[in-house]
Amino acid sequence: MKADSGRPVGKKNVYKKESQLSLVWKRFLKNKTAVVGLVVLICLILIALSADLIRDYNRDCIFQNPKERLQGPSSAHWFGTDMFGRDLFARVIFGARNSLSIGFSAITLALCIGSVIGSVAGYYGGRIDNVLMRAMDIVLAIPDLLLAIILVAVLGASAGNLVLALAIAEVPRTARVVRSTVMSLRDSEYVEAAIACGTRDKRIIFKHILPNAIGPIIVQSTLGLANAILNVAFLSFIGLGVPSPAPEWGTILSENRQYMRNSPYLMYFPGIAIIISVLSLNLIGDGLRDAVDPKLKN
Amino acid sequence: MSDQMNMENKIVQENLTDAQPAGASAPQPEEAGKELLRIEDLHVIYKTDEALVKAVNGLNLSVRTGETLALVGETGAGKTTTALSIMRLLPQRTGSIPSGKVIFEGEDIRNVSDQRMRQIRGKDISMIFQDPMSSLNPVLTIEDQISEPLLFHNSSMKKSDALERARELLEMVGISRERSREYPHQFSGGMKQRIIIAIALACEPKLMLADEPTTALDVTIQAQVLKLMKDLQDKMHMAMIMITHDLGIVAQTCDKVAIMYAGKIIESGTVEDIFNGEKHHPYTTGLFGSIPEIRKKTRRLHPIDGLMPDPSCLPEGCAFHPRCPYAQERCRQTMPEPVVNDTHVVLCHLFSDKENETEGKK
Amino acid sequence: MTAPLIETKDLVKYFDTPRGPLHAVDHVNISIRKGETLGVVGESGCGKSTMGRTILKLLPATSGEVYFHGENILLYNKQQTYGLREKMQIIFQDPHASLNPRMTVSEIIAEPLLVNRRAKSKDELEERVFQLMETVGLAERFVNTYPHELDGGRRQRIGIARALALGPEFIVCDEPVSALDVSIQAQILNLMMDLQEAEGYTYMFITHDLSVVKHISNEIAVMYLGQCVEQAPSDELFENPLHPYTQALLNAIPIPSLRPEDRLHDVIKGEVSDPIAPKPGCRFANRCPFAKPECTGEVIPLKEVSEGHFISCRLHS
Repeated sequence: MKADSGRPVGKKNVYKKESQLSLVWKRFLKNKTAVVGLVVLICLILIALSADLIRDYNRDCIFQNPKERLQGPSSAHWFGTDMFGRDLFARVIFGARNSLSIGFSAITLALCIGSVIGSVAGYYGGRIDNVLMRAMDIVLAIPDLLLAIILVAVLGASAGNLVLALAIAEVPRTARVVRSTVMSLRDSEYVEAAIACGTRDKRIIFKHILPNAIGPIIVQSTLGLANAILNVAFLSFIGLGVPSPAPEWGTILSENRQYMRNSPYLMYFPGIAIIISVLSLNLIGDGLRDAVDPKLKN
Repeated sequence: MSDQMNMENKIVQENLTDAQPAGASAPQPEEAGKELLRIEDLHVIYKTDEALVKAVNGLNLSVRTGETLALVGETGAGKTTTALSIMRLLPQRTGSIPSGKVIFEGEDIRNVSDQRMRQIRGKDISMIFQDPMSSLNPVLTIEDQISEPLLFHNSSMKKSDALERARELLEMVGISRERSREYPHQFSGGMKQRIIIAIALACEPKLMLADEPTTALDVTIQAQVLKLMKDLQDKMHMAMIMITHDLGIVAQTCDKVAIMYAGKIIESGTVEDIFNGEKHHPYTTGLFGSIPEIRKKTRRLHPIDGLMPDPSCLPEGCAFHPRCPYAQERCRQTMPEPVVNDTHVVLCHLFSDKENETEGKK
Repeated sequence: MTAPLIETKDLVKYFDTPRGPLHAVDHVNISIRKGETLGVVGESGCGKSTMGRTILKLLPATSGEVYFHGENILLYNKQQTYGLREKMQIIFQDPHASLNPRMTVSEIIAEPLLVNRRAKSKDELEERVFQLMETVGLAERFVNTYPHELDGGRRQRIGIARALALGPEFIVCDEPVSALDVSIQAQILNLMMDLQEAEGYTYMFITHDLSVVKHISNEIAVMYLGQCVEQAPSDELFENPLHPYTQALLNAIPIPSLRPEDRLHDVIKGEVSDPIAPKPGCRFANRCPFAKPECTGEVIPLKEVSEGHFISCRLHS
């Protein structure tokens, strides 16, 4: 048996690792629309994070200034002012904070709960699978907005309750995706190999199966996030979202409803903000799906 | 799989002799053995974002009417690429033919129009692929799939006639015509491959390209399918290029052999030359040494060290030199010239001058 | 005569399907002595892979017994079965599917050592991984590469290293070279034979390739649709194949030779019959040129016709 030449045995493990992640990343980068989406999202996040540095929260967002009400966009107020004289630009960028953070938190929570439910159901199958999935079906049968409305109406409108409500609405979809991915991977030969080595169930699920399931899960989460942001806006619009006077895109649209005909900018800016964030997330989600798809691995 | 299939099994061999290909005329004596396909200095490359892959590097071969040529080689040698190039079925985005000629019946089909190529594919040159599972459309009945090339290439043919001819072809490959309205999933692997053969033969092509047609099949089914292909080939006086890595299949079914390595044909000749001949390329010797033979008692196999080179970065000179036990200095520098001995051609420096003549032992 | 290391008695594995039970392994009796190789040959659907996995308890047996060192391991509880894993291992056919694409070569090889707590420190683990890589002929520089970056032959070596990691006694080799090129096949076969000579591994070598199995086995069992139809020492089986299916199988192999006596002849007709709820008796009868009415209807037992040569056929009872 002829071995290839190599360094002498006993040397420390100093060789470089090039992970799967970087491969997916490279493929993602080739998709121009996805990259545009990513850039836009990053800008949004940066703006939301640095909102404090650009405008002052209390002075611009909350403090009412009747003298400057309903002014169109100008150099002093880039997006104009609303009916209380508050700077619309400030309200929109602080609103971004609320929308994005509530959305992210909801999805993260849904991801944690959904992954556990989905993995257990997918790996063990049988009765456990049945019980868990029927529970998910029940939740899924209720339209998520309705579910969110009910939960918020019962628990009260606050950011935390909003996160909880949206997370619960998203859990079944995540659980389903995780379950189907886990089920398809459970019968892989490398899982069989792990069993043959004596690996216990927990390690098989978390070390062997889930890392390979990440692709579809991430795609689902990205699209779920887009959905969540839209839902936050809608809930705020009907008054069940973040309580006034906290800024949120849906709230802005709602409170300025009556003035929109004469001052359409009041609608454009928050509306465009919603559209841009949802669109960019959708583009990223599609790009990720293509980048992660094993069929393209050639 | 059911009793119906068991019944059918009994019909298999009988039907093979009854059905006749329509319009089969005995070939004129002068035509038999005429050169049908000639490939001259073919180069094929794949351009991906990561690398430039040199799949075929100066390939020359020729096939006469009625002849079976084996194209032998391991994974990565370029055999499938060669077949796809003949059919002009290379992936559009990445594959291209920078130079070379593919002359079919006197016409260089490398440069003809797409329309002309469509006329040729399926009618004059046909191809069957390795995996029968994925070659058939799961939502069409098999009679529809067999009649498709007939209808495409004969614009005046009526649909009912085409379907009838499809059923005849089914019988010719040993499948009962009552099953013509069934779907691919209702057949086993061996039967699917027969259906694919029927589709490929529908328009009685002059040349058939078979890319590892039996690799996915069990050995007893393989034997049946090989026999079927041979019988039909004889009946239709068809030429065939059989791509395979199995030297046993080569010995049992082929007339001529071309052995590929890293995109070039490094040895070629008649089956006699390759199996019983004297001088061989070291790679050929290595291939024969790697096969555990059923007749012999060998303790250890003698594989070739190392691996086939990466086609995106081929070695200088002779591509085989890193693995060759007889490699000399000039092997690293220059590509050897073909050494011709009647029908037997070897591309190796070992045989190029008389002083360095050594016999390649089997 | 020493007791066999591995023995099965009436091993049965059926799968439930909507149309009835699929008889994957049907009352199979085999035995393998320590340090030897039993080749198991047959075509698709004969149940050889299923049998290998059932013996290893990767699939639950329907009935029957599997003796390892004289003990029936099918009666073991979960804890005892984990203990078995250190002594019985498997090498898979597909070098692509059997390796976790997200784990590096060293992680894959280290896995059995980690989960069985064989290394006391990270350094010891690393050391052991390097040793195993050297044993199977994998260069050190691949230690942090991912399987998809390597070719089939190297990937198969990783699979072998993983199977050897715990120092098992018995290894089921499920078509380990079928997916490889001929020259790589030869390298891997040589490796496996060298390892067996050096360490005394006992192999069950499953394959459809008769020439490969002859090369590596001491004894061969021929399977057809879940039944073992013939069993004999390797040379004896090839010189004197008695069962019509074995004969058909041997006749079907295309020999790389031009001699007239080596031409393909007597090509067997027909296809494998349905493994779901089959009729009792010989399952080869529908294709057998010597079939008689008494071949189907009753179970035909395995009979010893000469030293170590067993056959299940009416012609020899």
